[in-house]
This record gives sequence, structure tokens and C-alpha cells, in this order.
Amino acid sequence: MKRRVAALAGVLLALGVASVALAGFVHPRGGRDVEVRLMAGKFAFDPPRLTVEAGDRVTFRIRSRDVTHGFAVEGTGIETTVLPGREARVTVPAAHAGKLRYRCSVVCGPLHPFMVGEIVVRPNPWPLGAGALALAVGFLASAGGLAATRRWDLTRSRALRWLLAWRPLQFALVAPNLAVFTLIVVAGLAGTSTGATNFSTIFVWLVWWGLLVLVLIPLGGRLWCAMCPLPAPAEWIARGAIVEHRVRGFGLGRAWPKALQNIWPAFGALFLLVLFGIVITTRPLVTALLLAGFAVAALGIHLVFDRRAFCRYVCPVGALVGVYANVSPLELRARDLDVCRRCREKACFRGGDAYPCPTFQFPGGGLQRNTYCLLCTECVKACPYDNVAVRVRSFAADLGVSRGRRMDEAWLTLLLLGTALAHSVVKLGPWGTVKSWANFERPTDFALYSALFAGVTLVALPALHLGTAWLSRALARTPGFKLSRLFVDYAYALLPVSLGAWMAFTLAVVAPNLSYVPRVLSDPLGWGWDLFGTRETTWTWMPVAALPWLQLGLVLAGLWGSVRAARAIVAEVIAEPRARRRALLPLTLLLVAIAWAFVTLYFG
Amino acid sequence: MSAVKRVERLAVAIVLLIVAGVPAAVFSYQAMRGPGTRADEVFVVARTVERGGFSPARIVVKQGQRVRLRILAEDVTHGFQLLHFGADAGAIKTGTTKVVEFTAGKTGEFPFYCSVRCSALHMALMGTLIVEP
Ligand code: SF4
Ligand code: SF4
Ligand SMILES: [Cu+2]
Repeated sequence: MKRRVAALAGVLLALGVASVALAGFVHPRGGRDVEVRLMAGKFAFDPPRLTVEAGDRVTFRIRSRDVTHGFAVEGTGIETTVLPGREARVTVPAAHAGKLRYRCSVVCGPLHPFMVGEIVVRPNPWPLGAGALALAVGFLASAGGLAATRRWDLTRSRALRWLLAWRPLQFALVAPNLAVFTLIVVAGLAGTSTGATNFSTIFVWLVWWGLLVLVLIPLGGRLWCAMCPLPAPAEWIARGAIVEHRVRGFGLGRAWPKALQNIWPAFGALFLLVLFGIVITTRPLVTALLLAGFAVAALGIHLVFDRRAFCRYVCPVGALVGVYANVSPLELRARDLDVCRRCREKACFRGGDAYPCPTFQFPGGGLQRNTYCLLCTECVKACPYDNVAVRVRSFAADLGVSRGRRMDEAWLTLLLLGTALAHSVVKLGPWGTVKSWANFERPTDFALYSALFAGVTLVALPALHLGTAWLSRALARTPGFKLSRLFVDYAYALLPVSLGAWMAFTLAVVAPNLSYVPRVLSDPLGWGWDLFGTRETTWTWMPVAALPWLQLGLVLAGLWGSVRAARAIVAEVIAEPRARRRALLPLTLLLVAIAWAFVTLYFG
Repeated sequence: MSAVKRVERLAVAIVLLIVAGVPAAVFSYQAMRGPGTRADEVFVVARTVERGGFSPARIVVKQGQRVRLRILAEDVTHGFQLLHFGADAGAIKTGTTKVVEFTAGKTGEFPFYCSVRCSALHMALMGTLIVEP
């Protein structure tokens, strides 16, 4: 059986690699000169997609419907400006099979960074090749033994132990972010309303989001929450101290309502945030008001309720970072639970020489997953036995932990996956109609978009997931299992592939728009300043040719992690190996299909 | 105890410095910098009519004066033309500036226009140069 799986995977792998690699060598069947009239208008090209043969030369005759636009082919130096009333002509050689993307290169309004068009060069090997690759990765990951999680205790280093116990550490992390946050609010409120040239939009949705998704989450999990400036003033006032440990602060310290002791409030907030995502991420004023609103909400909540209730129950970013933190290779845990058992103070939970855990976690009580640990290091400071460790471990280790899986987390996971898909279509896709719906240009259109968005994220995807759980139960012939429990358990297997997809998405948004960063640094408010002489940095072309490979790698790595997690999850409920394999099959296929959908969307 | 207080006081000072200092720095830099990047320059911001048009829309100079205008296209690509004095900046791409220079030889009121279609109200995007004797 195992051999057969390996052989099948090998064949698929070879097929995938061959079809993708061959495309470069396939003798061009084209060679024609194709002429295309292209209409550029806010915020799409028409026709949005064009199919030609490898070897063709495509000459675009471009006109503008409204204002000045640009036309630049990703990964090449081909670029031209499209002035209204004048035809621009540009020739693009379609040398290699695959997908060529071009984009607008002159800021033309809020959605300008997402104004893209596509040339599909046949024979495009991606949809088929990526499908075979995904299948191969899926099968390989579902076979073979499970390796035990390995851990390295970073706090064996004395210097790090000292640093983590150093009281001003958190303040030192927050302060620079507070400065950036202040500038974001000032720029958003007083600066230009052109998103591409305002510090607030660029620094929040390009720099912060890029670093968060591409670096902080995959390596540090919830590390962002240790340095987040939004709830910091609230926490300082509630504690009555910024750095030092004070026993009595100014917060009322009420208990958070029992019915809301979950992340459903955060789920609601996140849903609104991603539904209005296109509007929010392109408007400086909205961005500033949103961030300031978060800080004000945190202030209100922290003054009334005990500890960082905003971060624990309400913050949508916290919830997002929280569930993905389970995939990260960084964890904070009690070093030796025997010490904790004998410990009478339980200072990590109740407080002692430092504050009690701001999110009600209890390292000494066997904290096993990262979801709610903010890495604030209070428990390190509080523990009188120096028994709290920060460790590096294998990726996604928390996904196999069955204790503490919850329905709210499962739904949040599904929402995140659905959003990655929806935003990939809206922001990276060439379809202008969807963009204008999502851009709230007409309320009726936006209502339609909302219905579609909710349909995908709240109905279709959960239904597909439930169907998978049902099928898995039927194949394993274990009708006694509760479907709702499988629904929750299996949701955790989606996390790695959806994180991989978010990373691939983020890479494609951030990389081509990087040149805005030196611009807004030099002129943060769009007032014509030139602090560093970089205000007119022009379009710099990143090595975008490597981008598809990176994206493919991220999605496939995510798929690998997901299938491994699925194996561990199935193994813990089903003992019999054959039943286990049958139960795993639908889940593996679902994960492969998800990975394939993303790759096809990006390159198909 | 006193060491504790000193750290707290320092932290409070840093926080206040950030929260008050960043806006103060932004606005005082803008005030100091004046309207243009050079003393002899008039800084003109071009926006679509829907968003307020040229600002300033009235520019007053003296006859015989060498006039130097720096025009920033703030929201989309605009143009700048003041044909009575032969000034034409061509297309000014979003977020960039261009400079036109001319001598105000005759007195009177002279209209200037945006020369690149920028919105439905593009034709209404104009301003006036007043040359006083
Ligand atoms: S939960 Fe939200 S507000 Fe709290 S630290 Fe994390 S990101 Fe910041
Ligand atoms: S477990 Fe420790 S580091 Fe994590 S949030 Fe609680 S106190 Fe902070
Ligand atoms: Cu455009």
C-alpha cells in the first residue's frame, strides 16, 4: 500500500515537474502578430484577459476611457503612459508559455495598485502541472511516518533570559510602533487622500501587513501582539504604570461577560473588516479612523474590564494572528510541569512580582497552544522559579493538540481561508466589475458583493468543509462520531495551506508596489515634501520573474503542512490504520483542491 | 523606589514626546517650509474639480516679475497651461511636480488650465494669474 502511494506520488510529481518545465522548451507554435485594442479605465483593462500562443507578438493599441493610466508588463521593462485622447502603442512578445501580467503604472485613483490585466500564453502548463504537483505533494504528505516534534529551548541562553525578564522590554518594543502609529493617524487625517502617496495606507497595508504575514506570523506567531501600539495606552492607564509593576491601577477590573468569552466578537469584527477590505486598504482617512477606533475601543474595554480583554476577545487582527500562531515555530511554555505542580504561587496566572497573564492563559497549567499567548513575557517575569521557556519547535506543532479546539476558532479559520480566496480574486484578478462592486461605488452593487462574499465565506466553504467531514466519517465507517466535532477538528488542518495562500497573495500585492515605500517616506502626507530625496522614485521592477515560483512554493509548503496536520488529527480519533487512511482521503483531496484553486487563480 | 519612579517618569516623557512630538514635527515642518520648496517659487496643488481644483486658484504677481510655479498633481495626472505667457508643463503624473517659469510681461488677468483630462469636470479645472502693474 505504502509503496503504491509512493509510486503514484512519484508519477504525479514527475508529470507536474515535466509539464511545467517543458513549457519553456515547447517549440512556439505561434509567431503571429496579434493586434489588440485595449481600453484602460478605472480600475481595469478591457478586455481583462487575452489568450495567445507562445511565440506570438502582441501589439496593444491602448486608449483611456477616463484619466491618465499606465501600462507596464511585470518582470519586463516594457512600459508606457496612456494619456486620455491619445492612443498608446506597445508590443509585448509572448515568448514563453504561462501567464503574463501587466498593470497600470500611473496612479489613477484608490484602486490603482490593483489595476491589472492578463495575457495567457498557451500552452499554459500551470493549471495541469500545478494540479499534478499538488496531488503528488498531498499523497506524499499523507504517507510515511509522523516525526515527533522537536524543540530547542531558547531561554537556555542567559542573555535572552535576562532580556525577557527586563521590565522595560515590552515598552521598548511598543514605543517605536507608537511613533509610527501616531504618524499614520496624522497622515491619514491631514494628508492627501490619494492612498498610493499617503504614509498611512502604504505603511499599514503594504509595510505592516507585508511584514506581519511574510515574516512575523510564520516565524514568530503572535509576536506582533507584544509590540502592538493600539491597546498599549489603554493597558498603561488601566495598570497605572507604563513599565513598572503596580498592584492597583485605574481600571475597574470587571469580569468580561461570560457569553462573550470566546472569539465570536472578533469573528464579527474580522468579517466586517475583510468585507470592506477594498475600501479600507485604499483610503488613508478610513485607515486612520479605523486604527484610532481600535485604540479607542481598547481604551474603553480595558478601563472597564479585567486585563487585555480587547486583545483576547475582540480584536480581529489578534484573532487572525492567534489562529495562525499555531503554525509558527515559536512557543512559550512552562519548562517543567512538575515544578508547576509543586508551585503554590501560580504567579503566571495570578500575578506576583509581575502582572498576571493579560489573556488569562496559564502556562503552569499546561498551556499547549499559541492562539492566545501574546508573548508579552509577563509570566516569564512573574514566575519565581524561572520555569517559563521560549522555544523553537517544528512548524504547526500545535495543530495536533486536541485539547482546547473550539467552534469559534474553526469558523474563524474558514473565514480566513475564504477571505484569502475572495481577496485574491478581487485584488489580484483582472475583473474590473468585481473591483467596482467591492469598492462601494454603488450601494446596490456593494450589497450584491456582500451577499456573494458572505455566501462564499460563511456558507459555501463551511458547507464544503462539513461535507468533507461527513464523507470522511462515512468512509471510515465510524457513524458514532459527532459531525460537529469532526468539523471543528478538521478545520485546524486548513491553517497551514491558508497561511501559505495568504503569503502568496501578500507577496503578489507587496512586491510590485514596493516603490511606494521610499516615496511616502520622503513625502509622508503627499504635501510635496522631499525629506530624503526619494519622493519621485519611479517604478522599480522587482525580480518578479521569481514571484510565481515563490508563490507556488508557499502554497505547496502550506499544503504539505496541512496534510501532515490532517494525518495527526485523524490519527488521534481513529486507531485502525486502514480506516484511518480512508478517513484521511477526502480531507487530503479537499486540501489539494484548495491549493490547486489558488495556484490556478494566480497562474491559470 | 526612586529608581522605579525615575523609569516611569522617563517612560511617560517618551510617550508624551511621541504623541505630541510627531504631529508637532509634521505641522511645524510644513509651516517652516512655507508654501514652496524655494523662496521665489509658488507652490500650486492640482486636484480634480470634485476635490477642490487648483489651490491656490488665484495667483497674484507684479508686472515684469520672473514667475516660477511648481505644480503638484495630487490625485490623478493633470497638466498645466498658461498660454498667454507660453507656459506649458505637459502631463504631470500623480504625486510628482513640474516647474514652469516665465516673465509676467503684461498686466491683466490670465486664465490657466489643466491640459490633461482628469475627471468629468476636467474642462472646469482652471485658475487665474493676476499681473498687477
Ligand atoms: S490582539 Fe490586537 S490589539 Fe491586541 S496586541 Fe494583538 S493585534 Fe494588538
Ligand atoms: S502566557 Fe505569558 S507571555 Fe503569553 S500572554 Fe500570558 S503572560 Fe503573556
Ligand atoms: Cu490606472
